[in-house]
Amino acid sequence: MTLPLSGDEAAGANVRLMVPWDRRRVGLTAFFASTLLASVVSLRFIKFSPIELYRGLTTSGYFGRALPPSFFEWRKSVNLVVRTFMMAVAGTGLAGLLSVPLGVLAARTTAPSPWVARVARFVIVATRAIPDLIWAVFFVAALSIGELPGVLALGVHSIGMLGKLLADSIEELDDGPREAALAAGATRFQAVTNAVLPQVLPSYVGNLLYRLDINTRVSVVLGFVGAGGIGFELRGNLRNPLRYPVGIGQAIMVFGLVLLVDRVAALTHRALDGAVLVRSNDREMELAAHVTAPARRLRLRPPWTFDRKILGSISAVMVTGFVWCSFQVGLNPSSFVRALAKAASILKLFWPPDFSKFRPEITQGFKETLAIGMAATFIGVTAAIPFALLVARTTTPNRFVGAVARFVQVVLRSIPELVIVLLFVSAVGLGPVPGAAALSIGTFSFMSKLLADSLESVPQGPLEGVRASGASRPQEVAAAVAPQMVPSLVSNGLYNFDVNVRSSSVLGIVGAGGIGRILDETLSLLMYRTVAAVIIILFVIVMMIEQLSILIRRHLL
Amino acid sequence: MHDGPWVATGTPSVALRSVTKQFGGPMPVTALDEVSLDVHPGELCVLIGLSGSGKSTLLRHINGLHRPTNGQILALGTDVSASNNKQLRTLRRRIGFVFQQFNLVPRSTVLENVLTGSLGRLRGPRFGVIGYSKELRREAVEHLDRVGLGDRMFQRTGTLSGGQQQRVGIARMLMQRPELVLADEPVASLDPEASRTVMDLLFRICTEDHLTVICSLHQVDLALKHGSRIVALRDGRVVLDRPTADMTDADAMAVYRGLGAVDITRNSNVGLLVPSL
Repeated sequence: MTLPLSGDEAAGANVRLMVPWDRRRVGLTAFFASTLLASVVSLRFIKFSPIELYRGLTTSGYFGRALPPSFFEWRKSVNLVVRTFMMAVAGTGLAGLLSVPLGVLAARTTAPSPWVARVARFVIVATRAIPDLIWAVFFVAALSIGELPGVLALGVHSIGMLGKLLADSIEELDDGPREAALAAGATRFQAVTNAVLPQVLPSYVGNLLYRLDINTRVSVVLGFVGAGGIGFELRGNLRNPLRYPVGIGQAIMVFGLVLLVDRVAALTHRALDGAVLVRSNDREMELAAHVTAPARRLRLRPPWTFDRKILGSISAVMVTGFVWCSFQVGLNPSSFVRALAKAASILKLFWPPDFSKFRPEITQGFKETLAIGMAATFIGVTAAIPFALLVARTTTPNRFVGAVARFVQVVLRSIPELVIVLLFVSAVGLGPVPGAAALSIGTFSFMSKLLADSLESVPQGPLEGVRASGASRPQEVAAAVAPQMVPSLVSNGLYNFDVNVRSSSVLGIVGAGGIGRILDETLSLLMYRTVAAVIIILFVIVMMIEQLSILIRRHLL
Repeated sequence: MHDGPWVATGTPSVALRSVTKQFGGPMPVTALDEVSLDVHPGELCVLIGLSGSGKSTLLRHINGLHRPTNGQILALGTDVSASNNKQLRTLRRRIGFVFQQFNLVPRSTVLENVLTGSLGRLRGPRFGVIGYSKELRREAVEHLDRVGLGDRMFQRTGTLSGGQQQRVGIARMLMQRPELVLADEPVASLDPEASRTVMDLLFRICTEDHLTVICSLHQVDLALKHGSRIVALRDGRVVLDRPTADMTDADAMAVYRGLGAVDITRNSNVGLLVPSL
């Protein structure tokens, strides 16, 4: 690029005033243009119209029907909510246990051979790519209706996520301590348990808590397909006009539970961070006092310092909670092995996959699923951008607005997506529109949180620089903040599209169109081989989207 | 071929016979080029040389963390290059290793890190300090006392200073009850003051316990002060090998300059190699 800076030869006429089109700029422009195009096509395909959605919500007498919520038979509902949470705890704990060996095998540094690592990585990808609700449908088919299939579905689906995070953090670790253990003659196994696992423990516990938070939301909807918890009741009530207020009451209870778990997880996380990552000086002093006491020769056990008490009690609560909840929902080693054996035997019915039946329906279903995913991402992300500016502490117009916006965000994030779908379906009827609307609410709350977080972590120097030149508030944002937000916007947008396609594939189970409807129908017709074909196609599509977003991230950001 | 009068009689603790190591990849590198070296029991052998001259690679061949492309390595009577994993583990138990980056688990307590040194003697994993027997814990505290950190045993290792962490590394090495000690630039990440303390401690303990030491270093003054023999490497080849006992200050400076010249002029400098005195 030769910029004719010596302006004297053509006196401005020749000077390039446009940014040159390098590869990155062309790529990003093409990316945004094609995203816009795909969104418009998708919105038209599912016949999304905000006016009709609004009319549906207001003129159908929906709010009159839904309000006021009723807490009729509340004891039963509370009991169901508690059992739902127990399922979440048992499922998360199960995944926590199984993901440790899986993560160790999948990490390059600790895998016994590259071949094993590749197999473990594949297991991780496969368990993650298949939506939780489909796992639930599968385990219900294998074990009949009950809580155990739900727990297994949560467990299997979470193994992938937890295993991936564990493997990643092992790979990021300094390999020195492991090498030292090997040099001291330790076995590979000892080197992992004594040099690797202690180092990844804090992040592992953090991930486990985060997963429990997610699984609490998921366990609510597992009942939709007969996998235990409050979901079955909730679905029934929200479909029955007479019991609708009871359903709303239960939804409020679920909302309370999710909010509670969210708060407790955040507090625990903070306590862990405080105990594990940051150490104040006075705690160091306390420790020094412990060890310099005259009787120290006799003391060969670590003293119960404040840190150890916190860590100890958190682990004790987590372990006993897991054991007790597992016992309550019927998960124990023998039932687990028996369930796996049954699941393996039913797996035969899914083989070989049959791609021949319902071809047009399947094609239509996938088109609809992709369109729902695209439309939901577009609406959600577009709405999230201005909202994030209100939320972020660095850009919010004033503190009151920020607090209100933050509250709205938390509330929206606490309601499980499928419950929102149910609410929309009962308000505006069956079809892809309520699905897209519900998913876009999820995307909106998630994306506005992520964007607000990255707004807050954007370097403040440029902002200050623009402010110093006398710019107005909106000018500051446009000149100094927006350019820095592009990478976060693109990569989080892609991630949300990925998530939305996965979620929209199960929407049909609650009557919101897409491939989920075909899945539901073929399953109830016991056409397992067609189900297998649909799942394989879904898997391939999800993988393709993931690869595409990796490519885009690598080359454009 | 480097036998000299300073060498004790008997079988060497470590013997390298024309060891060559090539690292593969798109740009293959020869890290060790036909290295032959005998180190006898009780010797305090210091390896010097520029970064990338092959010092670390050489040390890691002695305990089998790396496998040679060619050549033979004998350590404490075991043929390292021909050992299977189990034999290697048995050998590593007898060879202490002190790392440049300490390689301690920062989150674990000092005592637990020292106890890690006993894993080679134990079967299966251990979780936390209380996973180890009382005797082992008592022994670990003794080693910690010896490096002067007995009062820090329950402190988190990551909160110690660099010099203190390396002393924990030495205690962990002692926990192995080694017969041979390999130290890979044990003071390269420390300030001069801490370097002196750690080097004094390491070599005092090894002399007291009659341990054979092979230690790589950057600082020639420390090498002269602590070593009984200096071996210099360049581009994976031995370019100098002589005892420090009869090295005068002038000799030391010659070594310094010689190495400098090697670096600058890229002469082969084989003339500096002293086969026997």
